[in-house]
Amino acid sequence: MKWGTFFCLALLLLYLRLYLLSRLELSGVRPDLFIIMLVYLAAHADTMSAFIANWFLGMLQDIFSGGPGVFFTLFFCLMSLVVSRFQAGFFQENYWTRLVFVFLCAFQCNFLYGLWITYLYPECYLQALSLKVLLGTLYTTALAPICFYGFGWLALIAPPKV
Amino acid sequence: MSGVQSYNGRRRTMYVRAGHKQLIMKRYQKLLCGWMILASLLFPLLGQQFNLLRLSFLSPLRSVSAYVNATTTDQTTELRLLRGKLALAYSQILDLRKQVDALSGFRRKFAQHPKVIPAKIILRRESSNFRQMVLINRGSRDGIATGFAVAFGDALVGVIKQAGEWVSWVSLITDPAVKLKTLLVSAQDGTCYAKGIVVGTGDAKSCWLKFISCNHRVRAGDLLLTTEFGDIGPQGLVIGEVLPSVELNYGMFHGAKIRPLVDLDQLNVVLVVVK
Repeated sequence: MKWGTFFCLALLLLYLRLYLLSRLELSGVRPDLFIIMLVYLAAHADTMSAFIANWFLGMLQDIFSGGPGVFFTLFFCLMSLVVSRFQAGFFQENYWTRLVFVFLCAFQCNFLYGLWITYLYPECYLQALSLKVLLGTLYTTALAPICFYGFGWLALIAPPKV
Repeated sequence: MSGVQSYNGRRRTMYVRAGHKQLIMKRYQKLLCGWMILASLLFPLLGQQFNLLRLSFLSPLRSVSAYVNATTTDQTTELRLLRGKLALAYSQILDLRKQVDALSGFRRKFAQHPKVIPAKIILRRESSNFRQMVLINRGSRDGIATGFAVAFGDALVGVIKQAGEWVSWVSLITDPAVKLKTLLVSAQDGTCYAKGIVVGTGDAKSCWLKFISCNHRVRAGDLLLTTEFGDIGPQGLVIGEVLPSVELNYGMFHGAKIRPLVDLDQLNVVLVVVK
């Protein structure tokens, strides 16, 4: 049941990101709802469940991106382990530290992907790329409170223990 | 006394067993994590097969978009149903009209070109913010292959980047992965006066024109056309026009910023030009 809810929610977030949020773009940038879900899962589920769930999220994002490789899968797995390690004593109950983690994760994801794109295609317009990294990070962080409220309200998102 | 001892013994055994089980579970969890990361790392090694596998996951989108177009969601009253159907028919007419415009625009200029395949955009943006790619509802089963030009009317929109069986990714001309050989045509007298390379910037509204010899002066409003020496489609598709005021200078070459002639965000229908 809980895994089922998680899969439905993941697909819903994917649909929101790919179709609906395209209408709320800021300079061609949409918020990354999966990053918010990553932090929420890592904070509320046990390490293993969060890892599997985030692997799935990363894979989903990689399938729907036209870029090469499995960047998002690896990033989501790694960040899931990092956030899970910090979550117990550091920010389990603290709302603001969770937001800080969303900001850090979103920034790292955008920055590393931007770096990778620049490495693959050196002709990139760096000014536009930097703007996208910054705007993407801030937009994702700005949406995080609403998403956390929504996830908390559902209260079913955390997958069961493996 | 012996009963208490045996009770304690049983409890200790139980704890030891539970601890042992936890240790085994942890070891299995670590193994599973390792395998998942290793599997993720191995996927890209499959190369083209990996891309085809990813695209096969996206194939259902083709039928979903057809289903969404064919039905209406609201069936509470007949009036609503009819209104929905009317709106749907109207949007289909608009799509078809755009398709006809695109085809006739293309045919006016390239009457002798053997084959074009009309396609519909089913995913306007890919999941990251950094690439400019769209997914179309045609694949290798329709005769599409990697490297084909994608046009709207007589304007170049992009290039097929990955062709799956049912769907394909198109790199728009603004995508950083796109590099096109081009001819510069004067807006005043229509003569070709220089060659260059168009490079996508990742910005949705502009590209760079690079490697123009310093002997030639680029003017704002001049058009860029595809060349016969390029790797894609027919010669003469319009790529874009030179924007004023932004100019690059590097050594023997210089360049300029250009903008695509078509608004790439508003496209619904495109033509795939078969080589």
